[in-house]
Amino acid sequence: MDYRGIIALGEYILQGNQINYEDSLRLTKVATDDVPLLAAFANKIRQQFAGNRVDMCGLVSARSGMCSEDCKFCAQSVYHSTNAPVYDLLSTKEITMSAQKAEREGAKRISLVTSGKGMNNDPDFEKIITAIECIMDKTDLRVCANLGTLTLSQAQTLAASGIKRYAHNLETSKNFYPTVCTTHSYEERLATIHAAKAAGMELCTGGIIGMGESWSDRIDFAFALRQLDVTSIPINILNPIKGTSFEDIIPPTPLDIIKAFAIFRFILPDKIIRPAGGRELNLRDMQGQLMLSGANGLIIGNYLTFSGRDTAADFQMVQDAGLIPTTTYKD
Amino acid sequence: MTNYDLIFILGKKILDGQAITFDEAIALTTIEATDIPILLGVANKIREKFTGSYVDTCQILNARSGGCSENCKFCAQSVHHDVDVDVYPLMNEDDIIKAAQKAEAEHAYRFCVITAGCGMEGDADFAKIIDAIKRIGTETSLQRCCSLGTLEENHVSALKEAGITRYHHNLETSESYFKEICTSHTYQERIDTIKRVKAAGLEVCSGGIIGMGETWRQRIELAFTLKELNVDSIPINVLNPIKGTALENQEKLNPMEILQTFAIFRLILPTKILRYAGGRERNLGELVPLGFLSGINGMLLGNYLTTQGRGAEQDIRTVNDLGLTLLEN
Repeated sequence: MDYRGIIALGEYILQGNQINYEDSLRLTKVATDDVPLLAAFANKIRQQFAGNRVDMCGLVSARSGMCSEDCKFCAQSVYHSTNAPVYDLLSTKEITMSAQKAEREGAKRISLVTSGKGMNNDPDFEKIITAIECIMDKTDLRVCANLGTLTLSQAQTLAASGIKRYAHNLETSKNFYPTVCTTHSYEERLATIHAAKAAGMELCTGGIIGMGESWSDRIDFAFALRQLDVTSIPINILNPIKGTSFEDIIPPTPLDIIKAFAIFRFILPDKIIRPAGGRELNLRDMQGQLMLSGANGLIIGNYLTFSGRDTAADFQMVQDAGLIPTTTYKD
Repeated sequence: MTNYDLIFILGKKILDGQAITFDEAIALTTIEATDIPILLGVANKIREKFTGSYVDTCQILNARSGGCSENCKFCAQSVHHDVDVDVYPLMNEDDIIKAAQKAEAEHAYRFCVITAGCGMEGDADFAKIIDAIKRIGTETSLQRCCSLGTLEENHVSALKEAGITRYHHNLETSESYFKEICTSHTYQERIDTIKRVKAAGLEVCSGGIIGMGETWRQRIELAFTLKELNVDSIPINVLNPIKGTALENQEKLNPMEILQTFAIFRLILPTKILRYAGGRERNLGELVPLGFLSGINGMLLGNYLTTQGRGAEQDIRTVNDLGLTLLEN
């Protein structure tokens, strides 16, 4: 596809139409020197359908390591031998202090994350609810939760505690998923997403690129997210952690990453597309370009098992790109 | 017609081998913020088509610093300013050679010997500079450039004979704004030196500084003057307002406006080397790499005359990350 194809598709979306699968796949074949133009249209689409605000959230890793699942990228899996921290659920006080720290650093939204497959028969679930209520009491943060598999009744309990958005990744395409995880199914992930939706929560659902998947896997993945109508899409770029099964995978180039984000924006014009872990490692100093390629969210501060960068740098980057960090969720 | 239609119409015109007019360039200065990345993308295509994916790198050496008689308002080396800047006479030849060797080790393609001062007329250092330039030619494989201020014809021929392939002499800004920036010598004097150098068959590296309070129109005037002079390389500095200079309180340009300027320069000068120079780190922050996707295809590596750069290593990695190729000797 030459640049006129990019313009035609860009305009088609700007007019309010949906891109189809075949055209999305054609976009993956644009010439390298046309990637900035593709990104520029993604940027226009982002502005028209999602505005100029950047949703910036922090993570609180409330329970870490010892996960029973075998996700090949994950430093917290018991199948891997890594240096990731291992600890039981933090106390409500500790969790609240972490949340307060994120708030001080500028986050308006945090996600409370626990390692493990999910909440089924998990005695920590009640304590987590208490911690969530405490954060809501002590801060002005918008609180999201990321606790793995949920039953419908657990989803309803979370929603009743004030959680408006549940984070649960699909990780990758259905086709590529068995390469990434064998201990639970794609369908199980979909079931949790549907349970959270049924309980009235928004979804923060994305995954990881750069695990060896093909471009058509990435497009499949974006279309699955479009079909699920999730609100926020965190996109990690593989950080190949030593000791994990994916430790030797060579991540994609910065321009390929930018291309992937731009195409996601073409497919998902009005969603929050959120660069997440691995952006520092893999984009290096090209993160600013990413903010002009369709992204409108960021995970700031540290990730679950590795460090991010200074949050002030992210706020400056967002502003330099002419975008506006979200300052409040109070309506 | 939307704003970005204009960008594509003009972009296509240039990709088809035609030139844009002054008024068309002016129209590109008024596009909406949301269309700036599209303009950058088009500039990137034009860069790729007319100059390929090569990046021309250079390191500069401040071989004689400070004490300059001229009153350029931006300059830390002017005697008219009270700036905490190094002041030293011409470095000895061995030290100049060492600096050149270091530049070569850091993968610079060119090496530029720079001296503070108005020019070479009656300057006793000129002969020493010629000797140093000759020796750089025997001891390194660097392309040799220099920036010695105003030159007369005899200087130009001596430099050419010594192996200089490209002479650096900025216009700094447009003719209409120059008198706001410098009154101790004229714009014409600068143009005369450039013409003398061109006439001798040497290449010219000439650009300037944006963000000194000039208007968009004046920036476009500068680009068209450079085009008319057919200069080969255009360094674009973004003002780094140094404390103690007359421009110390000058307001910063918006990063997107800086990138827009690069892109418009690329559209006006499709085949030339647009060279990143001083002030980019301070003014663009994390958006520095975007310059290379906005029409830039050259850069100063390492430090500037009186300010620090971000380090050759990081710049080289950025270029590699973008799939561009460093020119090598």
